[in-house]
Amino acid sequence: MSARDIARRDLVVVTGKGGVGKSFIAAALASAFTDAGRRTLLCTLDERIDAARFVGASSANFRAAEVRPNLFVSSVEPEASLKEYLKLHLHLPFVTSVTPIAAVLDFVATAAPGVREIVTVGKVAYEVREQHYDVVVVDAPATGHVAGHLAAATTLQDLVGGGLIRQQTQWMRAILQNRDRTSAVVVTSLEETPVNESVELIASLRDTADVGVDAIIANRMAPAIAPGVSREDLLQTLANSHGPDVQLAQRAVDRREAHLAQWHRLRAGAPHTDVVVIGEGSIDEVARALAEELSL
Amino acid sequence: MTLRDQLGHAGIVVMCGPGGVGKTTCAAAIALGSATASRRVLLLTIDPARRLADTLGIADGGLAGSDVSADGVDVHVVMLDAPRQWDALIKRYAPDEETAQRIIKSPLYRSITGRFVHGHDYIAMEMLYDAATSGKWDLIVIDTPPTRHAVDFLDAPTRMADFFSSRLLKWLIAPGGTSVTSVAAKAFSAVAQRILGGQFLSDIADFFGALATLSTGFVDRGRAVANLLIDDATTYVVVTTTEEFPRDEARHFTSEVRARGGHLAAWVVNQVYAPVSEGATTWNGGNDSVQRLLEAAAIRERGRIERDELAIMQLAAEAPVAVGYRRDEMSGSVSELVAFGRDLLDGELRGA
Repeated sequence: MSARDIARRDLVVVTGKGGVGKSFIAAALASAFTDAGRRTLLCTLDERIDAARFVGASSANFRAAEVRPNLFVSSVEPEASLKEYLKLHLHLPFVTSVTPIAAVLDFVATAAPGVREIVTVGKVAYEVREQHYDVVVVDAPATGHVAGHLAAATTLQDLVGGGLIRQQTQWMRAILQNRDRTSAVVVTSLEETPVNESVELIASLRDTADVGVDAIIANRMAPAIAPGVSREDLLQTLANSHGPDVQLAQRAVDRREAHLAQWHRLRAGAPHTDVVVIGEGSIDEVARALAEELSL
Repeated sequence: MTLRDQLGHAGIVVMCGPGGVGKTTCAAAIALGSATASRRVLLLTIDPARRLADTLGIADGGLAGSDVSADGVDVHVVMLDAPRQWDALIKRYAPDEETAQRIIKSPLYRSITGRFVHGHDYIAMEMLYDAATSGKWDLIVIDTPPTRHAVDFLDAPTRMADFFSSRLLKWLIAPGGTSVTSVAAKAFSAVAQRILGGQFLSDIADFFGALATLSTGFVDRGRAVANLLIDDATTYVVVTTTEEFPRDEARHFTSEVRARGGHLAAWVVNQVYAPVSEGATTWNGGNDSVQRLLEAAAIRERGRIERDELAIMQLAAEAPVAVGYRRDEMSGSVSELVAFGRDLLDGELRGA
């Protein structure tokens, strides 16, 4: 599994700690796939639509909308997913007239562990299975929730003896756990806590959810201050100079060095996973950088 | 006006905000900065990063928590341990030991308590209630769990109460009982069976049947906790950064808190690039190109400071803002956290 394998996946699950730019990277990646000529669905699972907004959509609904040619966005909510599910599989029209279906669904999903997760992940897997798109990019829940989401099919298969859910878990696992079709991308910033959590998340995705990780994306790496100038020269100049601009330039130098140190820690912590470094930039700039790094 | 003035004699400070903005650190800093020799402060924390957990002395877990001291003040710190708290809760409410064991040993128990009705959020609110009614603390600062919806934890007590008083639960528990004769109950049962399968449904029914014997406790407590969250002595601090999406979320959160009758003390705008003093800069050493590159870096830094300042001005037009400046990685000393807390608490509020 390497970063360049992302180019041939059917389903790419983008996750990471809150605040590291996970939704932004998911949006940029979807945009890069689209630019490469692939029919792309960008969907969010946690009912926040940041990713959709980054690609210019003012809203995102359960029904996918095309924001530009070949780029679709949707927001996969549990209630809507469950309703679609039931429409396809159940024929109990009288139910709605007797008791509000929403209340029943809410109750069932509340009482039964994993039902919310399974229906949302199921909807995503369904889009992959039906091949409505060339690639589906998921802006997945943040660290802490994502492994549970992706493992819901396995968890439920163990708990559930029969019924609709049970029938569905088999094919979903076949898609999610297929290393050729599905992979996760872990986004991090180059700071201590996000780096630690990213390293832990990779292990938990593999062990708990049995989902492979193609790459870590180290987001918003501070740029080199003076490429080609030795560190000594740079620090010497800063030490000899004085005034507010020196203080500011020193901050920039320090930030760059701190990011490099965290990059080394990340590499050491996840020695078998490619680390793709992305600098600060607009969504288009980051999409281009990703396309180049990943050979999309 | 400072954040310290704004918090006044609040008994509970609820820290909330989106992930990744430094909420847990701010909660610890405000707790430590608020403690005095005569003011007993409790910090309830959820999932501190490793270094912060080390600093607070709670890295090894333990329900009892630990005391953190610096500069002659101390704060008691307790970390949320949801699975163990749930066990304690079940044992407390169960009518007898046998029922408690039947619930805890159920294969469904772990996955259900972790997920249903936002179990972690509920347990955090339970802990808060326990601490608040113990009479041991002058101030409780509570960090809130990372939630998909900002207000999940606020609604958790009510949702728990609603769940256990729902007629659907009664139908679920007694599918063969008298209530199933109603058409509505039959319809519900049919849908639930199709979705979940008969076996799973009966497992769930069995589990909740046992859990429902505890339900009076859940319902009463849920309502009491819900009241505590909108009490006059409870105040909210929403933490954000100057970035667009955290800001939007802070706004959303604030309106949700207010809609529920909660009181907002202030926003903490964290990770702000600190301004530098005015004055001329003299470059010495290095060649011209090195100096030009450093100047360019300084200009970019000024851009960051200006963007942050603009964002703070916009936010301060909507609510009082305490500014938390970006600092080097914390070295891990308690006094550093105390200093950060005092900066937050004693700095002049913007827009107040």
